[in-house]
Amino acid sequence: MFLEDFDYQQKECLVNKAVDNAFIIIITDISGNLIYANNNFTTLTGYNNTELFENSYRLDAAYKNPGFFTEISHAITLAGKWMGEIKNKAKDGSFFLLNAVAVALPAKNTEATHYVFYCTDITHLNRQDEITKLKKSLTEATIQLEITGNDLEEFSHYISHDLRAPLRAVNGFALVLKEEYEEILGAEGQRLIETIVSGTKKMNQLIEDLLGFSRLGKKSLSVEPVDMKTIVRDCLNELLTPEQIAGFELHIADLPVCNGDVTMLRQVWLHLLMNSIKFSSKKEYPSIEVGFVPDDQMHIYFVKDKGSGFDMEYSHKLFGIFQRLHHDAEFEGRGVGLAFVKRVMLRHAGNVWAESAPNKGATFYFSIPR
Amino acid sequence: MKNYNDVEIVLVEDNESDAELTIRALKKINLANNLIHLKDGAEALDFFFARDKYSDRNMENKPKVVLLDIKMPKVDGIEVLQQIKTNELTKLIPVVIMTSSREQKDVVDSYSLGVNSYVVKPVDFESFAKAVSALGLYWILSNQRPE
Repeated sequence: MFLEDFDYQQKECLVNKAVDNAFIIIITDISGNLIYANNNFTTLTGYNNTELFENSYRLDAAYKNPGFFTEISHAITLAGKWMGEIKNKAKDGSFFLLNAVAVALPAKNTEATHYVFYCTDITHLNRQDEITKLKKSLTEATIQLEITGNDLEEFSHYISHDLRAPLRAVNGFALVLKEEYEEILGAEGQRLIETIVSGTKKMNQLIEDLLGFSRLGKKSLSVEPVDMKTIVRDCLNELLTPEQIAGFELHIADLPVCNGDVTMLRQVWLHLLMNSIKFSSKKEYPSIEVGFVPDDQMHIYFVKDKGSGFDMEYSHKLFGIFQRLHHDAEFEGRGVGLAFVKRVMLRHAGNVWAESAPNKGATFYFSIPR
Repeated sequence: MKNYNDVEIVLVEDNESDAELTIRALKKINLANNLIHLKDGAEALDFFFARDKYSDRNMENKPKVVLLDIKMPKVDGIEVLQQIKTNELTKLIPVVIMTSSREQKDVVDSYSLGVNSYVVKPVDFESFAKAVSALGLYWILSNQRPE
């Protein structure tokens, strides 16, 4: 059969069908209320006809732009049609993107009463674009990260070489002075030199910390099952003598095994337990509880003490390098331990956080993905 | 230093303070008499390969130990080490890297080139002096060299 064999009505019917199949067709009144949408649109949005009309679905819903239909009206008056993209939400919350042409009904000369939108779905095309864009920005970020990494490496190299030499000179010649001019210096002179020497030692320690910290970023993780309970016991034995342990009220739960870098995780426990011991040192009945919080996604461990605690107002400073919440006179420290813990946790795609109040003890939690 | 051929300890160090502290520590144990202090890698190469102002030095006379800093202007310690260890006439000279750097790259590079020892200079002078005198005693007095 040839198309010529159809009568006019049949042809019209065919064309309508073809258009209906090829396009998403939407009819709205001039203020944007939905009057008609074909099956292609209901399939795309996931709403059936009843839902579309009951919820007064609007094409401009995702724009929050009251001028959307005004813009269409202007374009149609000027050019006879509007062309553009329509972005909106489907029933499942995902976005779709339409390439649309709108014309007015009735056509020309008469005042428009409705708009017809002929649209094609370009959501997928746009996703390809987005993926390409994301890939590009990822590459850029990676390059940036490499540059930063190299800078950091160079910086730590610089510190280890150039900063230590002058420090050694200050320390060394101060001691030579003390040794060779002992009598001239007298007791006070000797004391002053001791201050210089202890200052250089402290500064050297800071440099060492900083270097160790930056080395941690470079070190690759070797992930294996880690027996946390044994590590906690080993750490406590390392930090405390048997007599000291006897003075503590200790609770160690049956900690689950997790996957991680055993050397780094050992350091994490060491730092957290060392902190608990340090901040409990002024308490008559010191206590440390090591436990875990059951969770589907993460292994969450905690160390809880009844020590001096801290004010949660400053908790944001807790994990920054060289940040301290206590004066040296109260509790000595260099502000490195928790920064180290935080960094190890980030390397494990986990986290660390704390709860405390002054004199109410502190609880430090850390989490590692299961 | 009267005669370059009597040199037992070669100290290659660009930092004057470090050099002075090293020499001081060696003097205390009477090991600084036959020591020469070279101020950078370029001068070290001239010395070892008897060039320029060291041209009348006999390369057959090998020092008992070279204390070599890494980070120096012109020619760094790694390059000096490489040249010493790849030349038939000098490769048996014991070389000890003495540096502030404990960067793994420096350590690995040095050992790959055949360094005899790698020592990180402590900042604290007491430990520094101990390390230097231990090195001096070991390489000058204890160590047996090929004839």
